[in-house]
Amino acid sequence: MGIEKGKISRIQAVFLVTNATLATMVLYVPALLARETGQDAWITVILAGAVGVLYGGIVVSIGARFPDKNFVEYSIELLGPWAGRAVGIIFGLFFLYRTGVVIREFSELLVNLVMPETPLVVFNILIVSLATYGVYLGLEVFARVNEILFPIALFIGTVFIALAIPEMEFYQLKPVLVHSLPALLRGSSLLLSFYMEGGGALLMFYPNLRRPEDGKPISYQVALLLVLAMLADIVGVIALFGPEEAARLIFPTYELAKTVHLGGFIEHIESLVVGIWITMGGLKVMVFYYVSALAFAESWDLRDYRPLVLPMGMILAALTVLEFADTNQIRTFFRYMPAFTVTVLGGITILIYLLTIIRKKDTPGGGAAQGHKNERSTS
Amino acid sequence: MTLVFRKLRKPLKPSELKKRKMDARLQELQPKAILEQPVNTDLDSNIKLMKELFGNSSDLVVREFHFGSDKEIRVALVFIDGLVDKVSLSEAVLKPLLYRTIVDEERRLLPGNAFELIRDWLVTFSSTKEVEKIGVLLDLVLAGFAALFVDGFDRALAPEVKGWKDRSIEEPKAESFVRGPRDGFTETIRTNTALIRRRVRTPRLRFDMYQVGTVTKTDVCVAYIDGLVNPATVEEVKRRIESIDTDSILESGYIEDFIKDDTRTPFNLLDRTERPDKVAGALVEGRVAILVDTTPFVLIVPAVFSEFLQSTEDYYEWNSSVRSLRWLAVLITLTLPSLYVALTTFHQEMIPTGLALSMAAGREGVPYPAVVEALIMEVTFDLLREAGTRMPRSIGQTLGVVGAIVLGQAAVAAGIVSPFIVIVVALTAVTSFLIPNYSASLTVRLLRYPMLLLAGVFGLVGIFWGLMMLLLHMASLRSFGVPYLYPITPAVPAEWKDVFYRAPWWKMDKRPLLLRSPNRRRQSSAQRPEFPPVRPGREPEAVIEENRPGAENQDKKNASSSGKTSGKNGKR
Repeated sequence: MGIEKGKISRIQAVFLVTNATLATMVLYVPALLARETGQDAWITVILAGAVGVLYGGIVVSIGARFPDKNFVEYSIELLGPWAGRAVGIIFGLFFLYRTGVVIREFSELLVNLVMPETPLVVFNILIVSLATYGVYLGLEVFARVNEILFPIALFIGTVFIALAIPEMEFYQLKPVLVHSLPALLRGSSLLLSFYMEGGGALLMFYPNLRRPEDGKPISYQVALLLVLAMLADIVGVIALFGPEEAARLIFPTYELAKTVHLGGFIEHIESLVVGIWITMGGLKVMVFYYVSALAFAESWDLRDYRPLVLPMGMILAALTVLEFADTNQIRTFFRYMPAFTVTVLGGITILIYLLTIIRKKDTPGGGAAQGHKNERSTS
Repeated sequence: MTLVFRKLRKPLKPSELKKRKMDARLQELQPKAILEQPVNTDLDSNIKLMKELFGNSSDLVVREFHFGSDKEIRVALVFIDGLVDKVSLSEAVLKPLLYRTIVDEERRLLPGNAFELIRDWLVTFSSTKEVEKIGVLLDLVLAGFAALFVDGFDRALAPEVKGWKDRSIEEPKAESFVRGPRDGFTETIRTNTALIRRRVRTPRLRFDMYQVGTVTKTDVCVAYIDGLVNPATVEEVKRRIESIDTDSILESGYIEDFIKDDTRTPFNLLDRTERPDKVAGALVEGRVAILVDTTPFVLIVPAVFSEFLQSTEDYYEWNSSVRSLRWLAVLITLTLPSLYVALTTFHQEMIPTGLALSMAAGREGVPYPAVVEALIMEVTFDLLREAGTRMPRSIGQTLGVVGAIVLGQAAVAAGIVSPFIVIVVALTAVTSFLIPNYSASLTVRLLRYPMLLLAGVFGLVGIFWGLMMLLLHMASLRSFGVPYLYPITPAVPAEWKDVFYRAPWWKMDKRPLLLRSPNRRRQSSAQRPEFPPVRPGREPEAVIEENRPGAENQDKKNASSSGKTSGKNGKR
């Protein structure tokens, strides 16, 4: 058994992975998809969802073969100490970099929309300190907090989209399927790269599932939740603003929230949306940060990942400032992010998957029974 | 930063701990040698020793007397004045000894057999101990026993003649209810155990006694119901109590600090109460109670946060909405002042225009930023509240006048604060009193201040940041193995019926999951009272018609049969 001894329940895992994917996906992606595929963006969501389920299948089939080991542990077992650790460190670096990007995305949001006069680094430090505290307390703790907040955030998001319906004009979704297949694929590859990060995170805390056989339902439920949430978001945004306008906006979902008003006295409640984004974004950062810290700790054979947390926080606080010069660069990053994620994360995952198949590493003892035994002996 | 330092601090080695404990033992007040030695055969040296041990303290009573047919048997009675019941002492011990010279024809009291005869025939007290060691005897005398030395014997008798001035059972002042039992715990641990036992009549209710405190030697009692409680929890409670090494326990708060899972938190991880019905309810749920002598406050473990929003009265008077009201109260107490600051300072656009205008008008002329204004008023209110708590009751009224008129009205009139912040502070004050648990209410009130500062610096972002930090902190806490936010998270939705509202009793048929009771089911399910089915042909109107006063007087037979039907109707 690895470093992390905490256990999370199925519902906690579903919410955690979904939030780790969704929290930034609704931030920038609708605009990028609208630019790429216009009113056909909802098709890319479905396409990406289908491929995402496939990827989830790969993740689950690797995880089920090693129900008591996380990704870095069995990559060391499969590839040997040197190559395995290299994979672990690449995995950790990938998530460290992505953590930096996510933090930057959120602080950019806060600077642009809420407090334009405050320097960016203030928000960076706020989010990093929050995430550092959460990661320090451990997987169980932030999984629990996420378990409370994610349903609330999902509910409020749904209410916002529902309240915006009167303003929407659904003819803007027509004509259907005017964009070429390559454009659709490009759009869905962006979404897929987000799904892959969720899968990568799941690979890291697969051994901490209370019941390892829950992996399959988790991957399906996550995919379903993501597809539904993104569909609602993208259809709402495009029906509200039209594809051209949506592509120009930086934070289309935020603009959607801005149009909401109810009964003459609830107005300008978009700050509430920003608040929810801070909390959910904080939780997303915690997941990525945690995965990265754990991957490094496993690669270096540490007994605990906590000594790494504070130094990593300092690196992150600097990284978030240095990564991008402005918001446009973040959008540019997202255009090329699929290539980055699919090659690094997807490449590593598929490499390990192929190795498990070649080595004929079977699900131990038919899966369930052995899994239980392991769990009992370790807990 | 503290996180890092905590990791760096080297944990003490077990051997080091042991040595420290030995050092503490050496500092004990009484030399061990005297306490270990047996009771002397010689009466005079016994008396001398007792007097020496107590240093001629004025409340030590030593009564020497002779008895037997020729007054040849010398005995001495040693007790502490005020701790023993003198009436029962003279009835049960002194009278038989002084008035009787023989037990019966065969058994005469002689110096050789005096001790056995006194023990078996003369001392007529229900609970009497025979003691051989001075140390044990000393403890008993200090606990309210009397010590009876007989010349020529190396043992002493200790009849339990405890009796001291005790407060009568009164209604607890801090937890007052509209509906519910009116008795509260007192300062005597025996009375308290009896109050619990009277409610829970099962032999499986256990009271395990401990003595804690090298000087005060306070009785601490661990109460639980065997078979309903998780044995591991009891073990852990006992282990923690046994590991306490201190000189004094004067209140259960001392114990609380020693056995808490985490002291670096503003939240209290143990529940405390003065009400025996609450303790009985907790025991039946599978919790453990810790009673401490000389205090009416009983600790209950494990405790989770949602419990602090439950009043025992909720379980008697069914008003299910009040629970969610309390959650709202927590949220308002925590965030309303900071929301005011954030909205007026950073996010004016979120306030409806009309209100924003009148708020701006109210704030006109106020020289301070909103955060300072809010801090002034909040601190003032907390000062008033603390003064009111510590003040003699007769001055309380004056304080109310001073607080309301002088500070509230005058501060607004003088233009130091705006009228809106007075409303905010007053509302916060009211909501904070909705939290039934006093110390939980204090905690929430304390947390307003960091939230206020965050709101003053970062606006809404700061508030959300603070709430997240708070949630993370609370989710990381545990009380005797139970996560502090349970059952909200880890989510057990089946138990939310006792958190956000209070379901009727027939619905709450299981004990809380994470208390890990070996016997989870409380009652048989499906006890929901059903609406009585209406039998065809027996409509209520028809029965009323039959039972009309005019119809009843016609015939005896007729009347009785109609009475029967009505009886049946009532029953169905």
